Amino acid sequence: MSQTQPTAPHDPRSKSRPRQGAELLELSGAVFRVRRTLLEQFSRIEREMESRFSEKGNRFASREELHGVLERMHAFRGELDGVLLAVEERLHQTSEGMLDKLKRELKDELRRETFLGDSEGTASASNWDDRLLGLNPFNLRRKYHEASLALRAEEVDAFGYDPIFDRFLRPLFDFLYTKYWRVETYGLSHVPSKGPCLFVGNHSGSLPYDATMLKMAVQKEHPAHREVRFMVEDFLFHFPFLGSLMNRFGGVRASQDNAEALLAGNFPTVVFPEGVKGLGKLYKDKYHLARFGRGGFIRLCLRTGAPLLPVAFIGPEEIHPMILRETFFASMLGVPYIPITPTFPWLGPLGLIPLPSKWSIHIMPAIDFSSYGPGAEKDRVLVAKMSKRVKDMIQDTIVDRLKDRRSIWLG
Amino acid sequence: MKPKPRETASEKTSVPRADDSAAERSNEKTQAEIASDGPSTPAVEVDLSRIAITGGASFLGSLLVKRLSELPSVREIHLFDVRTPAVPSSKITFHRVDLTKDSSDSEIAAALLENGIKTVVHGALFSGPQRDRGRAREVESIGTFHLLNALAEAKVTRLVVLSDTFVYGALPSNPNFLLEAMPLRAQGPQFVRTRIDVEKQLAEFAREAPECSVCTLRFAPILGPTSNNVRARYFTVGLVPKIMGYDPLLQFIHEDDALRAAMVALTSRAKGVFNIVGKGVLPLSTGIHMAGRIPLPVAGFVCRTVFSLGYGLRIWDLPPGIVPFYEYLCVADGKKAAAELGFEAAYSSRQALKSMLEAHRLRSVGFAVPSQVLGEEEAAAARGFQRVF
Repeated sequence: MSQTQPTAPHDPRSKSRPRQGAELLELSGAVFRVRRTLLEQFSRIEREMESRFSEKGNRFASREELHGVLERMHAFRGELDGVLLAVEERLHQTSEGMLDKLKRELKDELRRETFLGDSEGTASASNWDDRLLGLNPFNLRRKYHEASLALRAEEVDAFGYDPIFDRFLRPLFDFLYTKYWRVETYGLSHVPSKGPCLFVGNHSGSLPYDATMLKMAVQKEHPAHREVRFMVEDFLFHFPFLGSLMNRFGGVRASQDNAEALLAGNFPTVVFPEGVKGLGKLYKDKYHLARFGRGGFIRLCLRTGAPLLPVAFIGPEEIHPMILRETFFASMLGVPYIPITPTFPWLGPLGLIPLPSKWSIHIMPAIDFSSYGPGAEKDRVLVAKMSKRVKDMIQDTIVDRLKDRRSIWLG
Repeated sequence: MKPKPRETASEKTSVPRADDSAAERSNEKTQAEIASDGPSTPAVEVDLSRIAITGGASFLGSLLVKRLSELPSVREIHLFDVRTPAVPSSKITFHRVDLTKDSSDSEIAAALLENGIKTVVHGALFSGPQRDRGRAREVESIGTFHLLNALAEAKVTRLVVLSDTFVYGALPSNPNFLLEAMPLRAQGPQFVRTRIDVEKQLAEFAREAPECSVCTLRFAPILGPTSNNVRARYFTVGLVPKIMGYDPLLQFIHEDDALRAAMVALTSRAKGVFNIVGKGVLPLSTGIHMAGRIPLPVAGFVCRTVFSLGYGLRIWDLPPGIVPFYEYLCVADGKKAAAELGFEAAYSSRQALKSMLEAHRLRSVGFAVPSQVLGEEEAAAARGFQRVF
């Protein structure tokens, strides 16, 4: 673009300024008039109603009287509509011309800033107004609310899952899944593409990263791209910030009722029967499964008929290698333990960064419980045996896969 | 503006009853089979012509009184309260009875017997914690005790109680959906414990007096254009205190829905406890941002102190007992009401909150939203005014 161009639109701009100002004045006058009428009318109606309230001690003597008031308000609204329509029409007429002018002006401004810099030194009043509007405290407050609501879905799921927040966090977990832990998932074909299913896995790694990675795997690589929900231990779910964060991301407080409700809603659900015992495993006990609860997950499957998929996670045991479980100060804080890792309390918040081990997730074929009749969940022997079998399946797979692994970090 | 002719309650409620009649009959059959030697429940139509209401000056009570006084099938409404009714109607007879007084049971019983009233609504229960905790406890548990004595004396056949879902308490161990069958645990703030005591008395009464069909409705916090309870006021204070790091899911019901549920319960013969809740949930922080308020996060261990300080110094009207309800879940499941009572909420929790906020905004701008006149549609139409300002 040549240097002569910016000067050409500069001339009409200086001329148009006063005309535009007059138009704006006229417009603001009209709006002010409407406002004043409105306020007057409102206060009149209000006074009328208030006198009705206070004088007789009772609200409306009859229905007819109430209808009378409402009818008058309706009539007033009609009047108002008329006035507003006229204003709108005038606005429409003037705005056509004004829009063109504004556009031209904006282009001008851009050109000046890009080509000539701020050499003109004639910062117009409107320019300053725009800049001051950004500093208006009321405007800032509105922007704050708008920004906070932008990260939230209009309607959250019944369990608190927020799809917009999930999409916001996805790049981070994508990075963790593909680059950081280089997760390899096997056996995704065993995951049904519709209907409920229950993933049962070995738990480790202080925070439920394993559940989120399984969620990512099913979301990214499964042909049906299903939404997975996971159960979160009580102490993590009621931990400040963490719980509500995980809730919005798809976590649900671990309880029999919630798991049943999730399966009834056809969600693939992840449970970790080891619970806190699995999370707080010491590094020397790694890949040795802790007690599998009391077989609640088997009872759940027997009751709902959902297929059970055992899952073995290799890798999350090493992301926070826990040397020691601190319990004295932990009981003062109201948490089960404070993990002592080579990095955690010593490096402060940096110690919370998980280590980049190489992960693999092995999903085993589904165990079908639909052949058992109703009431099978009351059979203690069956529940105990099935629970033991699932635990052995996961343990065997872990032992198998660990044999093939050459390095913690490279797999 | 001509208000739309409202359908009468009989029209509204006849639909679910017609649908459920078969199921009800089968239910009765099974009940009769189970208790074959006992007296079978007589199929009496609910007598709506004469109704007694306690707490008719309360929020939901006055809405109900207003609605009932419009019905042609209702001939007499007897109110037992310490405050005069807000609704002027020739059908209303006001009895000034203080439920905490020992003589109240005989007074109520005499009035019930004299007028041949067989249907009673118990609405003299508070929607949340009160400043005078001792009195609240007296009114709720002793008042219910006196009322139940009177009902037993007058052989009333139908009792509808307007209770709240806070009776479950907001506990960290609550599941995402609380069912009616869940045992109530007497822990938490005092207003919850008092209400649990009331519900225990009601359950005992339902067991001991089988001729009276007791229906307890547990309402989620009621929000709407005219609601003014503690849960509504929470969203209208300048700085909204919240517990740092906690963002529980909240559940509300619109006042129109609440009123409809009460009417459905009055006209049906369903027994037992029902959760009356709006559709869906919304996180607390979303609610605060919708209200356009600044949240003030308070660390968990000082929040009780801060709440009591603010309450004691009259900075805000949020008693410390309400803290767990903004910390942990207290969301009830409304499936039982849909199946057995035939009631399903028309508004979601979000819509209920939104209609409350819109009405509040209109009022703060100077437009007097006529109390208990504007519904959701009218409030939405009135939103046109707001844009002008």
